[in-house]
Amino acid sequence: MKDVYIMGIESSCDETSISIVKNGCEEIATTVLTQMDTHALYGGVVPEIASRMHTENITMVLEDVLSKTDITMKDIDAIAVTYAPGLLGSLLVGVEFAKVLALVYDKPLIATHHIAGHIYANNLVKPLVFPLLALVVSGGHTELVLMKGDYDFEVLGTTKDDAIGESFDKVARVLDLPYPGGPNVEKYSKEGSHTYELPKPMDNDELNFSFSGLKSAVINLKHNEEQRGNEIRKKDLARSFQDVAFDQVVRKSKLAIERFNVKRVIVAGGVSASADLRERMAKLCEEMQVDLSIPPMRYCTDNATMIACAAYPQFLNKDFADFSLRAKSQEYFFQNCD
Amino acid sequence: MYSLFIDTHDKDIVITLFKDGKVLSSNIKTSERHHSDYTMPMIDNILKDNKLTVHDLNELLVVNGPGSFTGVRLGVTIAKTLAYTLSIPIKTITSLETLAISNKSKEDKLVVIHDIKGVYGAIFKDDKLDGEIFYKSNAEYAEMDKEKYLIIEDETLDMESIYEYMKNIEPTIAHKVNPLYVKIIEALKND
Repeated sequence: MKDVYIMGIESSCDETSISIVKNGCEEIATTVLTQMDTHALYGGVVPEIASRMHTENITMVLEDVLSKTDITMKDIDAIAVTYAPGLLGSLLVGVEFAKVLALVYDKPLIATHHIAGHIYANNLVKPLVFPLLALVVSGGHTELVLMKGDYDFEVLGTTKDDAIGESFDKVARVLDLPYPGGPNVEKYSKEGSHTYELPKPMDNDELNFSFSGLKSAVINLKHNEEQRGNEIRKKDLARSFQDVAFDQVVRKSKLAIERFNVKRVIVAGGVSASADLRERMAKLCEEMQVDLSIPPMRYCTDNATMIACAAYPQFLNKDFADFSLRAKSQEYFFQNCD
Repeated sequence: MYSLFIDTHDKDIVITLFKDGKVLSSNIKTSERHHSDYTMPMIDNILKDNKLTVHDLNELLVVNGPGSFTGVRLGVTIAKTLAYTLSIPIKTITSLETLAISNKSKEDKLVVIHDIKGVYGAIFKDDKLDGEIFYKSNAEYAEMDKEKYLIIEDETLDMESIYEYMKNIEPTIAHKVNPLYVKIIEALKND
């Protein structure tokens, strides 16, 4: 079969990225322009600034990625773009940019979901083998998903309240940690010990998650200590919170592995950049004797490479979008999958 | 010589195709929020209706603001990407200029575009921008001395006059084409 080259475009938050991927698994060239330093000045991503920077930079990002390879626009088979979820104004820039490329170079347009990107980033490591269990952990998602084939998702468990990444960000705020919150909880936790007692959420045999009670417990604990005039040991509280949060993830993953005969466990989403979570999942999978795949760090944060990977099965299925494609700030990925 | 004009700064999306400075087709679509649904289909259709492809275009003309941040960003992103990928010149014009030119009066003009909290505006003398484009809150605008000006808030665009005016505008490098926001955004105000 002829090789398929897909150009992926990702602008859902504070990174402008374009990547060319061969056959959904081989990265040819990628450019990621991060705005993190700019947003750090404001203590978090400012949506309007993010959108402005995407528009300022996107044609230069294209020029840059094309300068890294002999592949030309003529060789590209399709243009894939993240259409959801994310910051609406930011997504919009990537979506309109992608439409123009599709028009000018006469290529099919593919609308790819950000979470599909995180899942299919695993193809860059080794090909997905089905059935597999996907643990999707990000700022908007906390799911255990059974995949029996490409784009065949059965949600086994999800969060009843906050997403895991969201709870990390909220706890970071409670602890007055600088932006980016989630990664800083982990940084602080490294030097702390689990000395605060926090409730163990969802201590049952369900596959669903809950993080809001845990977050509230952190807030209350801090409040009570302050009332008593005690200084909070931030590092210890970060450690205690992270232990309980990840323990829940590992416990539920273990239940799912036991119940379903999976060959492979994959971890996807921004929170999979956590070294602590990686270690815990590696230990679990070794115990359970299942194969584990987690994308390298650089594919765990937002990037267009994963979008081009996820678009490959869509390309084979001729799952194409037209020029009326609309960016969506919120679209739960698995809503139509059950 | 074919020129494509794109204006998405307010609820009316305007896409005009010129041949040698004369309007071949001009389409307007009113959309409160979903410019993204319509703008690229309108561009695709206006070309098809005239039996042209995007590769027949020789020049891009785009309204770069001020107006709806998202609207302007959409039009500018499309226009700069078209110009860059097709390697054709791109020129920008402000929304306030398009309105000033389209009104034929010889009086001094105060052109304003309202948003919820205030107005974007500029003074025009002999159809030339006099001073700077400003943004005033509704209260500030109410206090402004407007008596000596013809106030223009809305005007049907005179496309061929806009084309003539834009003949004298120098093209911009596609990478450098960016929206003109005018308004300082909240997060930056605290600096």
